[in-house]
Amino acid sequence: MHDTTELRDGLADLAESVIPTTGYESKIMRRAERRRGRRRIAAGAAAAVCLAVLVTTFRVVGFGSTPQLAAPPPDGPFLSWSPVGDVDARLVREATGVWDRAGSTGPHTDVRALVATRHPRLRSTVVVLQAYDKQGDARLAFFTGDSGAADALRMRVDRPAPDPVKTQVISLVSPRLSGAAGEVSNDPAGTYAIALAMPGVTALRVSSTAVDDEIVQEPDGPTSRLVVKRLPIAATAQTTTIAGFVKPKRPFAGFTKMFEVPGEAGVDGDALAVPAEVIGRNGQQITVAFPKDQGVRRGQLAVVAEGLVGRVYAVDTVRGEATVDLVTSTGFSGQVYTNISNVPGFVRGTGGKLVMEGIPANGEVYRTNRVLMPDPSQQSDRAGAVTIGRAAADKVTGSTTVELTPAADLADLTSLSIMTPSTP
Amino acid sequence: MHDREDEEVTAFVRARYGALLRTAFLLCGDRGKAEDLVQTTLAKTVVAWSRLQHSEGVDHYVRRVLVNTFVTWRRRRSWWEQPLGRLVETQARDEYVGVEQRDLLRRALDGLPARQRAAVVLRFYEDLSEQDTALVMGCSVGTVKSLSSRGLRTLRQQWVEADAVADQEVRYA
Repeated sequence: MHDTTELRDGLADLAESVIPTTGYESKIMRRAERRRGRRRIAAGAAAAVCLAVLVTTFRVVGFGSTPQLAAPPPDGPFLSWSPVGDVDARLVREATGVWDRAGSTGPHTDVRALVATRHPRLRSTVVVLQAYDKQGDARLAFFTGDSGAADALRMRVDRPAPDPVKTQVISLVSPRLSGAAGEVSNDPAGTYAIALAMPGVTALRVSSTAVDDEIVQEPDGPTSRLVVKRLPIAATAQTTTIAGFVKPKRPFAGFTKMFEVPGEAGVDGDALAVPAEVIGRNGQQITVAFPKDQGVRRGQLAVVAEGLVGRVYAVDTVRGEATVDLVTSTGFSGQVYTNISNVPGFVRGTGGKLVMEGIPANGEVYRTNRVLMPDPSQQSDRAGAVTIGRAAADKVTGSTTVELTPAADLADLTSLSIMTPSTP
Repeated sequence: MHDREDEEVTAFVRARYGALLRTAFLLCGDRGKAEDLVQTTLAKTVVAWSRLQHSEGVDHYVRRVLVNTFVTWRRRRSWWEQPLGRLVETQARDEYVGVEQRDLLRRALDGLPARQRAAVVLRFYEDLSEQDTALVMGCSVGTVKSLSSRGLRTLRQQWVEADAVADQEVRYA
């Protein structure tokens, strides 16, 4: 074989001798059918393996059913939650004594402690007790130390015990938690929020719209069931939100929000929030319905968590309804000041916009600065002052006015709170 | 629908079986193995038939399956095992030269590695271009050139040696 032509001829000659035998078609078809069957079995097995892998992944990685918060069986009318941290028996005895002496409801019996500890954030003691009063009613009380009296315990609030089945968190938000009874803190960041969640809650988050540029995000790690947070003096229960999260014990599982509720108030001296439903809207005013005999009066502020909605213009006590001037209405005006920098001024509505006027020429107001309006139901211009809006632009030097962007969404109102004094 | 497809498949099998069997024989050097190889190749083609209808080049696909299956089988140990249930008889050398030449070529082909053998058969029996051979074998044109060249060199060497042996046998007979 010296060239490829010879090879080609040789190969052709060699192959030429091969002649097909009969019956090969059926053999090929049978082989094809067996191959199809094997393929089906392999595909089924692969699908089963994939399904098993997916299910296992979902179970391990954290997908799947939403976690549930299982409430422990109630302890009669009381929350049967286990105490947070170590319970200081001396603090429990001291708090019980204070509780017994605080009013005519003592002595208290069957006292159960939910918290009795010293908290570093409050720099004082926190005690939360449940007990029967002398009438046999189940009660819940919060106690904190008085920084002006060697941290002596003061009872801050005494409430009926909450529903032991449905309650997921109890809280107290007030600027009156660090000094003498009923006394507002002098600290610009003197409002404290105390929140205690039920067992099973992995992380507890306390946030307030009174905080500038607060980053409200999902928790990045577990927290205690007891959270004490220091907030600006303008923060109230109405502007505070408490959220509880659960993280399943699975790798890579994220936090799931189980509840989000407003804070609770009730300390002597705190303004009382009367809940109201929006039932009508007429141009620059809204009509709201509220429970009767709640002390709603003309001039009180109507608020939502984000800030001020308006001011009560007229009250129909018989029907339990009130007319509220929106902050952008021409009938609305009032004294305000900027948060932190305390630049004073007046606001008025223009029938669609909100303007801050009478600003000192040398006063500096910059875009997004928060503007607060004192609440007449509070005993202080600072405590519980409500955010009316934010500066829409930098104030021009020498100018005395700046436009504000209302803090509340006035176009989408369904319910609000009317702030009333603690003593009508 | 299925009947029509079955008819098409059967027609294709009938049309291509003979040619594929001859190519397979050149690859395997054994008629039984060649039949097995072609039937396996066509069974795979039948299974993939509906998919192949939407693409061009069924012949190209069949050649590729044939060569891949052959190369895969050659890697298996079982390829080299011979059943011993029957007497192994070696075919006596034909006294006619043509038959002797075929025998020499078959022995020379048997001495080639699988891929070299496939390249030689596709290039010099199927008359495929280097590009088409590369497509069928799933390799580059350069690889085809290399395999063909080495295959040819080995064939020539074995042919020359076999001729020399045959001459000696004739001389000393």
